Amino acid sequence: MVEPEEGGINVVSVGKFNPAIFQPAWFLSNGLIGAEQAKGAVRAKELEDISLEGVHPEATAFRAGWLEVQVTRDRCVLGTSELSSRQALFDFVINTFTLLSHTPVGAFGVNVGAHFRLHDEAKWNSLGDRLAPKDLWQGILDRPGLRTLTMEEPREEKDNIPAGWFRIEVGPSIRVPVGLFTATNEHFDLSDKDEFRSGGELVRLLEVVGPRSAQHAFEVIDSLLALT
Amino acid sequence: MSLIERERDSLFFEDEGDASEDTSRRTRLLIVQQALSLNNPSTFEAPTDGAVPPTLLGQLKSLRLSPAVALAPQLPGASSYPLQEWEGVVQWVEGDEFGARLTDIAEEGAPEESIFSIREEVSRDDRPLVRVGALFSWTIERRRELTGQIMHASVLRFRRILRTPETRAAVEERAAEITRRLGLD
Amino acid sequence: MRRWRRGQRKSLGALVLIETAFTGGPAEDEIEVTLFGPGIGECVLVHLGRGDWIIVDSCLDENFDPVALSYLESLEVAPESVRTIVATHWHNDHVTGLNSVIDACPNAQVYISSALAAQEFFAFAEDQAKVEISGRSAVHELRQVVARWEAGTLDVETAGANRRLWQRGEPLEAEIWAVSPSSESHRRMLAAFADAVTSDAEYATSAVNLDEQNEVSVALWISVGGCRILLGADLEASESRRLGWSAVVRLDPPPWDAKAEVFKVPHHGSDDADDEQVWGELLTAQPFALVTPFYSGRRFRPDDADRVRLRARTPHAYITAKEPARKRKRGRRREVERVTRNRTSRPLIMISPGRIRLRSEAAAPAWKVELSGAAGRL
Repeated sequence: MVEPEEGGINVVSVGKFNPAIFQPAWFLSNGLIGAEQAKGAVRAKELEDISLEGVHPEATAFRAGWLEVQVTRDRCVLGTSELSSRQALFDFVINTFTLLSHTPVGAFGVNVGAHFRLHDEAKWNSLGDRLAPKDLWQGILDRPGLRTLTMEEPREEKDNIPAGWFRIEVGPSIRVPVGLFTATNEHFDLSDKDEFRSGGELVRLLEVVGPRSAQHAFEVIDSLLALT
Repeated sequence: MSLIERERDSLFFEDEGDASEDTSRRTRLLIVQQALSLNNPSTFEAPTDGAVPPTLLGQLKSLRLSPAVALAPQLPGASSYPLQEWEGVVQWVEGDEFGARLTDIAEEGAPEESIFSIREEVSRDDRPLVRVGALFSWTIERRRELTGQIMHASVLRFRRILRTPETRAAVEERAAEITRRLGLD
Repeated sequence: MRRWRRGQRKSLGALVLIETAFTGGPAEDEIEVTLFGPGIGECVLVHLGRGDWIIVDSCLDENFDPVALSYLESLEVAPESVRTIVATHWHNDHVTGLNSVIDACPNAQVYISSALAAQEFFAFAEDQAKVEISGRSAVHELRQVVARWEAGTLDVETAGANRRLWQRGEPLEAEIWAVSPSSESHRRMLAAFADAVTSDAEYATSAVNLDEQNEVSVALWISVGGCRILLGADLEASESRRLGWSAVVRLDPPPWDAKAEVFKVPHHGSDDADDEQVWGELLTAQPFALVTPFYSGRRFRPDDADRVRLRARTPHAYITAKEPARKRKRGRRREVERVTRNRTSRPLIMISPGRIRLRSEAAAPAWKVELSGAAGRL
């Protein structure tokens, strides 16, 4: 992928979780992270002064080195802003759900996002115009401008990979001047008639699709940037 | 809520209806707004009664969220971008050094080999992992610290691929199945 | 084909050595032994006369295609002419590209070591599947072979001591025999696989050095007309009569009726594979000894002592790559070059190609040698 100003990748799971488990000490005791990484964990500020005994029953949010963990009762977000650590991230997610193999998981997604600096305002405007032609909106809106566009590629179940989709969202960045924001989501549906499958199934799939999914996201983003 | 302002969304609410034992305690819950816009019907299901629930927790509970994520960092920290990446396998370990075979992940080609210093290049956390056969990633990255400082760094990170009794059992089960199907049992 | 009995040693006529350059493919009644060894891995092709070929192991050429296929293509030999493919070892280093070779050779019977057709190996391969580099584990190729075998899309046979793999009758009789692994080696290898899987190591590692790993090696004895060839794979010497080369020289009845003029030296010429009895009883006085090097890791093979020893055994010792390539990869980003240049480490090592080719008339062995690429005299 072309170098972004900022970027990140995460794996988000929807299911039934106990946030109290997802603590640095637990990850350390199970060999998923090292002692220095656990010691250096920084809890999200919003949870610092209200958590009793360092553990909150409704939410966990901390950063430990390259790792970002945010868990509520129905969502688990494991991610990193250090794109070079994406293999470590996939290993971490696989290890976590190997240990929590019976956790109900209804869906998961591999998500890549980035902000790119385009340098050239004319190119930036031109891309927006190609994605969403302004002349279509003349007479309907006064001074229309693209804020965000989402494209989706659906996926049928095949070869033991469940149905889902690949989506890419693109729009002007609010963090980078003359910048482009992209966010991809590759979604895997693990529910069977409202019954959730297990963490073990997430492990199986992530082993097969994880790095491939990230690579695919990078390639799609690069193709989009090539339009500028 | 602006579609673009998704990066950080701290929400405060009062926990009103949760059936946990701590309902008497007021809590402030950080919910990082990870999903796409509330206005995107493909991402969210609107509450069926048509009314917006009074609390955000209640609101979120009534929605089925897609796992799509806003990707600017939610918790402040450094970010990095890899300029060059290798996957490595340790071939030998002697004293402070280890030798490894390296595969460039960006292009298929002949593997390379290099020698690394454990003391100088391997984090304290990873040192117990250095053994023959251990896998690691070696990255030359451009790093931006929280302070805004930009630097280039060589980073070794050893892979932790857990082995559990369950994973071993799964391997044995699969092997038994292969043996049976080949008539070798 | 008469089998050899003790006391019936035959002597061969004088061998004429000519280092030359061959043109085109071998003639119908010409035997060819071609060895590739780029520094890691090796591949042997043998023309058994009458357009029949055998491929042993697999490695890649400079374009990262299986060298066996690109070589046959260069000779305009149809891959359908390949009768037998033998994987002498399980580690990917020995068999990179094997499945592509199998795909291209529809008439070839595939052989793997008997020690690999067992539940212990299947468990080991599955265990290793969790440990992948660029999508490939250390057992990637053999695991695919097993998967195809299980699915019924590939017929696989096993090779063990004193098992004939292939034969052809008149007018040009030929045989291929496996002379290892012995049953004791087979048993020890299975135990090593089982130990690797049941180990309580917390984290998975790639199988770089498995105990006893070369016990699984399939060494081959080939006879065609008057020519005899011994391909040593990675089989090691042993003090035990039931293991390694000690077991081979004690095969009874042995598959040989004469001594071999051509010897693919086992295990990259290292001393742990050197057996006096092999040189004394299975090989002619000054055989053609062909070595593939191993230019990886802490200790390269053959080392200086190995080279001295081999040169003392025969003046006709050749190696597929005289020395490791040392050209450092260029063209990376400026920042990457700057950071890697400042590292205190030895230069990065690259793999280099090289080939040794021998040809002889089938009736009376008179081998000629051609060296190309990085190959040379040892």
